[in-house]
Amino acid sequence: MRLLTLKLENYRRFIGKHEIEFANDIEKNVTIIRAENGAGKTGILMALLFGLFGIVKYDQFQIDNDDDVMVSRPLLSLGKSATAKVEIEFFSDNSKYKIVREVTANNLNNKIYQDNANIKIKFYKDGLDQFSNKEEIDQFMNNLIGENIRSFLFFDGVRYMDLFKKPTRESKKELKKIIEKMLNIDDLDKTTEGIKYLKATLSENTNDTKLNTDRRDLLNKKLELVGKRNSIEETINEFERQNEEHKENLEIHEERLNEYLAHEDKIKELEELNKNHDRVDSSIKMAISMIKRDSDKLFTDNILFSFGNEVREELEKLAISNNQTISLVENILQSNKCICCDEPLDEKRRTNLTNLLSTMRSEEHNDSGMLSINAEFVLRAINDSKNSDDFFLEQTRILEENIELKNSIYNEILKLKDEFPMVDLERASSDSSEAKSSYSMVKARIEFNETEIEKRQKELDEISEKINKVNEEIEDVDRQIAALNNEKEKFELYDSTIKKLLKLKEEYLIEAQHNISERANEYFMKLLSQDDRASIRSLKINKDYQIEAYNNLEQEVFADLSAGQKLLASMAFTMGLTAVAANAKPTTNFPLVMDTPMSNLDKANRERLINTMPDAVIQWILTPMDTELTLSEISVFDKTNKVGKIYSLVKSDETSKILEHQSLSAYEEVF
Amino acid sequence: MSDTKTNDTFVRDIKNQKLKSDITNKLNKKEAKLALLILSSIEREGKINHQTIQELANKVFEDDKL
Repeated sequence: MRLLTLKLENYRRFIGKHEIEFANDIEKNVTIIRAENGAGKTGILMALLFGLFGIVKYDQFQIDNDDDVMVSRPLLSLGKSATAKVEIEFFSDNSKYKIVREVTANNLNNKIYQDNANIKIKFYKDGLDQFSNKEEIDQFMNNLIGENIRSFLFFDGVRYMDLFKKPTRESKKELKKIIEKMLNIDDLDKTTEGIKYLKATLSENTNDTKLNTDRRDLLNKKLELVGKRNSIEETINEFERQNEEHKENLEIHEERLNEYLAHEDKIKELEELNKNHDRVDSSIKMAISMIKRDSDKLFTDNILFSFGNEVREELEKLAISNNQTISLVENILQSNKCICCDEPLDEKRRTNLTNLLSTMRSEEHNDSGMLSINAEFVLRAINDSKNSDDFFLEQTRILEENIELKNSIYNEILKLKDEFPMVDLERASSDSSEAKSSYSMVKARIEFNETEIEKRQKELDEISEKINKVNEEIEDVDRQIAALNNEKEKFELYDSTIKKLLKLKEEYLIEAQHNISERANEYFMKLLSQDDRASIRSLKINKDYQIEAYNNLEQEVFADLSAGQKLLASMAFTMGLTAVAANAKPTTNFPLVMDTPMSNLDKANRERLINTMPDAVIQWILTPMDTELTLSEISVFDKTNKVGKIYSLVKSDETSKILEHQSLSAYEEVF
Repeated sequence: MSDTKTNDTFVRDIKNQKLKSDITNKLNKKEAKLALLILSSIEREGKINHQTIQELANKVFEDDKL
């Protein structure tokens, strides 16, 4: 890239239109813009930065904020507004480009407002409008001269002297920053920054102790529940196993019952017959017993009857006589008269009669009475003996009937059994009740077990539900743990990637330090006098971003260098940095603009700089102070035959003018 | 002196080619994939787009699980 022209209009001190044409010939590539202090040297540099890159803040230059105002102040009287315009033409990649920027400012209440948000911009390539918006233009310019190189485009001698002269923490940091920029590792930095952002988005809480504790507790809970479930399942299985057995038994019982039910009628008939048989048998036994009992009485009665008939009359008499006597005595006692004389009874007779009556009535002491009673009893017995015979006969008849009945029943039983020879009806009958009982019992057990199973099943369902819940909780915790592990995995990946990218960057920086040192050393040796080269062997930047110079004895002597040597060292480093940044050898491929480059150099060093720089860069634009461009320097420049354009800035109060000189000799004539 | 093509795009391409090569060679497969995807997105968009890089990172992990 080579700069062709810079046109200014109402820009800072340059009211109206002004133009600088840069020397862009391969043979003559040096442009000198000489100025005294305050004439607008720095303004020219800022115009280049504004025009090319739209930079409106100039951290690079130590200026007041007020100097950010680009519009010429004399045009901004109270209530007025004005526009500054910067137009730059440059050549790159076989095309000619033109970029124009305009900014407007106004004075409100004696305060200047510059509308930096609405800078107008136009861009042309080979005379044609190229881009429609600012972003595209900025992108193009950024691609053309990246930010990493821009800072080297404008060499501020004072600034670089400060940077290299004082190995302070800040200067080292700034140098590191410059080298990082130069390395064009912005994308690497951005990539690292992006991954750092990703890392920062992850939860800081990577402590999974609580989750693991929760998980362990849940697993224990689950284990307990599963234990209970297994226990219940075992119980249910046991009940079911029992029921299987019971059901097998039930089948047997059912079989037996069915067998019973198949012959139920006959069995019932048999049972009935057996009952009747037993009843008849019982009647027979009773009849026999009664007959046996009554046979003795019958015998006695028979005797009594035979005998009684013979003594009956006597007994009747006896019974009557006694009774008559008792009646007679009772009458005598009642009438109180003697039966023989009709005279009243005396006391003695009465007492005797009373005693006699009492004695007669007494069974124990009155034989006559006793005899009378016994006689009556015997008489009754004799009468009854007739009945005994009848009863006995009756009993005998019943017995005979029962025996006959029993035989009949028995015959029926035998007949029944003969009808069903294959079935043991008696056994079936006896088993049926047992079968019924067993069947009922087994059935009850089965029902009991089924009830228990149902109950257990309910418990099981409840526990299963609990287990499901615990499982869900475990799954939830597992998910959280997985998420955490995922985060950990991400965190570790991000962390290790960041570390490796930083290490990569460090390697680049070390490599860059080495390359810069190498290139800077080449330039430094060219800039140094022959005598200095004999004593200063090398220049390098160490890993702490500090410039070091070594003598022949390999001793570090940077601090001992003169101010001029240090300036040359800083220039050499700048060129080394630029060369590495541009990745170009042996020259940088963009213009190098130097502000007051020779202020700290002695005559000899200035001469070497003037002789060296035109061949080291594609285009050299320098803005020396009047004191830096004496007849001596002009003479050296003249000899190089590299100066294509020469200007001087002439100031007058608040304005400056740009004067072009046709040649160094013409310039010399003016000053 | 010649005005060869050494503009920033060219330099950037060269640098990033080396950077990509170094990332591929010096980082493990997964780290390299992550870094290269993010680097490419930054090249493409010219800046860090948080949403884009988040999606790319997720993609790295999803692809890894496949």
